[in-house]
This record gives sequence, structure tokens and C-alpha cells, in this order.
Amino acid sequence: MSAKKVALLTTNFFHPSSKRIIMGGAERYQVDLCRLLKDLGYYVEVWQIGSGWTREFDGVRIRSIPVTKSEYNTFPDLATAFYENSMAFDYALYFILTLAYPIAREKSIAISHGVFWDWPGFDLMAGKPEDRQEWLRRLSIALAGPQKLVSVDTNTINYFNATLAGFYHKWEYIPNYVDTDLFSPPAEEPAGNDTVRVLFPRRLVPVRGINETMRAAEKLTSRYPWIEFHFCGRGHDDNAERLMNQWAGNRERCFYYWKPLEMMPEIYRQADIVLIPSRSTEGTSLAALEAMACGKPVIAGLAGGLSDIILHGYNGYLIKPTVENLVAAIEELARDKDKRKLMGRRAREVALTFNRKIWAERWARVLEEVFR
Amino acid sequence: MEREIAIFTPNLLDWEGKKPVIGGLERYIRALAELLTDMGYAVSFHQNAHRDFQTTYLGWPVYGYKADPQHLNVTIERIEKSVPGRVLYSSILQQVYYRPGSICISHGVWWELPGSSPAMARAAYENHVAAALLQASLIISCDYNFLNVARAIYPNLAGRKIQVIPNFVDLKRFYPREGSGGKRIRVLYPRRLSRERGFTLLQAVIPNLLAAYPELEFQFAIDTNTPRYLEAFHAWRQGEAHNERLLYCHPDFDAMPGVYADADIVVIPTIYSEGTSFSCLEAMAMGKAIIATNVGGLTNLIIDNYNGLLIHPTAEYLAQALRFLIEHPLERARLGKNAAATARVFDRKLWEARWRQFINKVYPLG
Repeated sequence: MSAKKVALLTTNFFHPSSKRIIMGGAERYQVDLCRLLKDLGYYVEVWQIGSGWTREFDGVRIRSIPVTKSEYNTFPDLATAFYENSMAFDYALYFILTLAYPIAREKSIAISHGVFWDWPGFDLMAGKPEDRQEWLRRLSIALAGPQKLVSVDTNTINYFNATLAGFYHKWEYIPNYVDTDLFSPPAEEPAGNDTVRVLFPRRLVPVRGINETMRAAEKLTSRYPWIEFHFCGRGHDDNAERLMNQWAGNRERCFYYWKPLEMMPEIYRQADIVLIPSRSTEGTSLAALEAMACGKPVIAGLAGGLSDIILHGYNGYLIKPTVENLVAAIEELARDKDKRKLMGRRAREVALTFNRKIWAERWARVLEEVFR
Repeated sequence: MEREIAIFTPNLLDWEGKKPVIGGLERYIRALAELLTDMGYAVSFHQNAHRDFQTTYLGWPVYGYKADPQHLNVTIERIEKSVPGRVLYSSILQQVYYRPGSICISHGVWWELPGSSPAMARAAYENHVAAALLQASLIISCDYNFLNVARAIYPNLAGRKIQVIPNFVDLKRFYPREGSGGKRIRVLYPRRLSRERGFTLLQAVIPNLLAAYPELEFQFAIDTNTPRYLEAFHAWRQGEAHNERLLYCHPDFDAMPGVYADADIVVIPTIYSEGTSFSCLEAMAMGKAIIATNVGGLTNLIIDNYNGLLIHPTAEYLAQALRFLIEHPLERARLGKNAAATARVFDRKLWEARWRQFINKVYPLG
């Protein structure tokens, strides 16, 4: 029997016009999901927006569909073209929930990586009540098609049950995951160093709390000579990265760089406190789970799925990420080594329950239910 | 005048003004009234009643206002008009009008009844959540879920107006201890017998489990607030094949630690309308193996497979989770130990300290 074929639809794994690819959380998730599908014996291809090119990544063929139109964060032309052209495939995965609008393959699963419409700027896109209703209406159609809806956090499920309650039975909560062998605590305590290193391991974008964190870094580095801030992540363009370099270059004990994924475990291990101060648009953040798996206390924003993985005061803090709150939370942990160690130990314990093997088992179960 | 705070609430006492009502909201506002009194405020309660009454409860004046259950809004309006000064609104779903300089409390998303239409959902959040966001100074939410759901609907206002203070547990009363033990495996359901609390979900899985595990028994710790729930419960229980292992009790609050102590597994199988459940927090503090659903604020208390099992609210998942815990005593012990450790960050003292900040800010004294 030949392998059953799965087509995964996404928007921009590669940039539509170039080979530029930034491996963020969603991209890593997609690569890992494709590997899992292959391990389970499926043949998998990825489809996305582009001029019609075909490429390969990690042994997976990636086809592009030449469409550009996007309305209300949905891509009706892309979804329709995908529906018509992927008939040779047995099953479909909608990597983004809204891609299942207006039509979805019968044996399909759609994935939500977290609520992304919970920030004030979304108002510009769908602020008027009638736009808001149109957005919700399209979502209700997107939710209706696939047989299962997978969410990386409980917040998304609860949001949809509170707005479009009819899809209650379709949801599956499969939280994000971490490779707890790769991301592991340091083998031993670095000796005789009193420096406290605070790490911001996110992209340099406002929604991730970069601006608040920079301001908090200015305050805390001038207050304490033993505190350091490390910003490790890409900007959305060269200019953002250049500005960040300038800012860090002009400041004592503020550092900016980015590292390939394989170096990230070491970056986390060298940190004492990790910041995930998202304002919104957040699921069960891979970065947060990785920091936790490395035994680090996490100071996180009150957004999306972060409250699924952090218990305030137990393995980290959940705060509204204002400058004031960030300074207070960092200060508290920076001055209390015992508390850092206790929370870090608990963070590692909690992270073990988000082990990648458990993620794979949960996915296998859902795939088996739908893809048959 | 400045020291006076009127708490508007559906029912602290029953509608005769005689007996205190047993429930989460009632315990919450009692704890809050104790804190306010301690801070120097003069607290009064204003609630629904069969006929107007005036009485005192634990030293606080309680005013009842005649109410028709079909037209509660009339009573709400009358209370609003007859009470001057500072008000604390105990429940967002009771209110539609808020005076300036007031705090309103959300006890979690409540309107996500499975199968309800988008229009019904919209009516709930447009009438209640939007009103509170626009009018009240501050909404205290007992869970992160309400904040996140509200922010996904109202990104601009929700982030500014809502603050989260998770519910609490009194660690002096609830802590791990030995129960009376025995060879039986006891599953405790410490909730109201209502649909939203998942009673029907549990009913669905019980017959097979009792038949499969002779050492298994269920204990229902239930209130007597609603006679029709009790009648239905007894009618169901009579008809069950192994009903000698379907136990029930009506404990008052002081007896609850003992009830938890005698259980091996605690189920919180909520289907909808849930915050950071007191029952869940108490079971955690008692170090019990908990099965909770991924609904509302329960997701802010239980991390699946760390300090309990967090399941999607279906009979299939519930049966599977129960079987797993029945057959794995070491896992019960591990989850229970972590539950007790995590409960410590929900200590009542921390809850009081957070509330104090916001009370000082919204209702400053002198």
C-alpha cells in the first residue's frame, strides 16, 4: 500500500518572493509536524503563497500558489485554489485556522497557534462593529469545515466557546512542546559569579514587549552594577536590528545578538531570569517552554496561553508587562537567588510535562481519528 | 459616608433573609467583606429577596429587596437608586449599570453554554462585559481566562480595565492529611449538581466504572440549595446498579477538609461557566489527585499531568482519566503532591494583599 498523502496549507513559510526564511516558533512547529507525519508513514507536501515556484525544505516539497488577496485576515483565493488543486491528496492540514475559510477539505484538521486579534492595533483591521461581525462570521465558516480543531492553548478554545460555541466538540488542546533532552539545566553552577543575567529571547517587536523591556533595562542597569540584559532575537527588518545594535552599543551591560537555534539551549543556560513579556498574540510560547526546560524562572505577560504554563509565583510570574511591573518583578528575582533557583527547579519540572514525545503522542491520536 | 461601602450581590442570604447561601460567590464576598471591615470600612449588603427585609449577618447589615426572578433588572434598578455612595458590584453578570468610581468582580466567563448561538453569546458580552468595561473603574477577574477572552473581544478596553486576582484557599484549614482510609478508592465530586458543573458528564461514566472496579466508590458532597437537583439526584441514584457505592453528604464548610481527606481522586468536570474554582483550589491544597476540565479558570490552576489531569469535557476523556488514576496509585500521589505545592501560591493572604492595593486605589480613605 502506498503512503497516504497529506497536504499542509500555510501562508508564508518562505517569504513569497525570496528565499528569506526566519525560523520562528510557527515555522519550527511546521517542520516538526511534517517530520511527525513522515514518521507516521504519511507523504507530506506544503502549499503556500508564492509566484508558482516549488522548493524543498527539510526533505519536504513546498509548492506555491500565485494569489495575493487577503481580507479580514482570511485568504479566500488561496484556500479555494488549494481545495481545487490538492484533490490528489487524501488529507489536509490547515496550519492557520483562517485558511479553512471559505472551504475546507473533508478530512482535514485546522490549527490555532493562539489568539492574534487581542491587541489594540487589530482595531484598525476590524474595528467597526460590522467588520468585527464579518470577521467572526468568516471564522465561524473556517471552524465549520475541518473535522478537528487543534489549539496550542486553552485560551483559544475558551474564546471560541464564548463567541462561536457551536464547535465545542471539535476542539483538542495540544499544547506546544519542548525537547527536554536538548533544553536542559546547566550541569553545574557557574562558580563565583555574582552577575545576574536577564534574557529577552524574542523577536524585536512591540507586541513581545521589546519597548517596555528596553526601558526596564535602562532603569535596572543604572540601579545595579551587577545586572546584565541580553536581547537575543531578530528584528522584522535590517533597520530594526541596526537600531537595536546602536541602543545596546551605547549602554553598559546591555547586549544584542541573535543565535541559531542549536545554540539557544546554551543561551538559556547562561541566563538567570528569562523574560517573555508579551502584551498579546501569544500561545504556549516555545521560548517560554524552552527557558523553563533549562531550569529558568520566567517573567511572562498575561497573554494567551502563557497562563497555561506558568503559575504566578510558582515557576515564574504573570504580569501586565508595563515598565513598572517588569522592573518590580525582575528586581525581586534578581535580588533573591534562592527564589530564582526554587522557581527554576519547578519550571523544569513543569516543562517535563510538555515534553515533545507527549506532544507527538497527542498529535498521533488526533491524526488517527481524522485521517482514516 | 466615605467609610461606607455597599456590596450589591444576588444572594448572600436566602431570599427570606434567614440562612446563608452556600456557594462560591457567597464565600468570596464574605472574605472580601472581612477584609474591608479589617481595613476600616463599614460594609453593608444589598440583595434580592421574596419581600423587603433588613437583618444582620456576622455583624453586617443586610438589606433584602423584593424581586421577581423573571424581572431581576427591576430590582437591580431599585437597589441602584436607593443606595447612595460607594458601591462594590459582586458579580458582573448581575449588573448592567455601574456608577463611577466602582469595582466590579468577574467570577469567570459564564455564557459559553455549549450549542448556544453566536447571537446569544454576543448578547452576553455586549450587555454585561461591555457595560462593565465602559462604566466601572476596575474589573477584578478571578482568572486570566476572562481577561484573555474579554481582550480578544475588546482589545482596547479590556487590557486597561481588567486586573486578575485568582481565587484563594485558606491553607490553615486545607492541607494534606490522612483520611479514614480503607481499601476503597473514593472519587469525590464536591460541586453543585448542575449541568454546567459537569454532573451529567460524571453520571454518564459512573455505571461502567462501578461495574469494572469493585473497590471504587463515588462520594457526592452537595449543597441543599436547590430541591429539584436533589430529587433528580436521588431518583438517579436509586436506579443505579451499584448504588451502595454511590455515597452522598451535605457537609457545611467546616466539614469539607474531612470530606476531601477521605477521597483519593477529586473530579471538577465543569462544562462551562467556571473561574478559579474554590473546590479545585481546596482539593489542590489537600494534596488530592484532581481531574479538571480545560474550561475557564481551571486552566489557570491545573497544568495537565503536573498537578492534576486537565481534560476536554467529554465523557470519553473523563472515563479515560478516571481509569488511569484508579489504576495508578503512584501517579495519584505524584499529582497530589504537586497539587499541594502549587496551591501554596493561592494562599488567602496573597489574595488579600492584592485586593488591598486595588481597594486603596478605588475607594481611598481620608
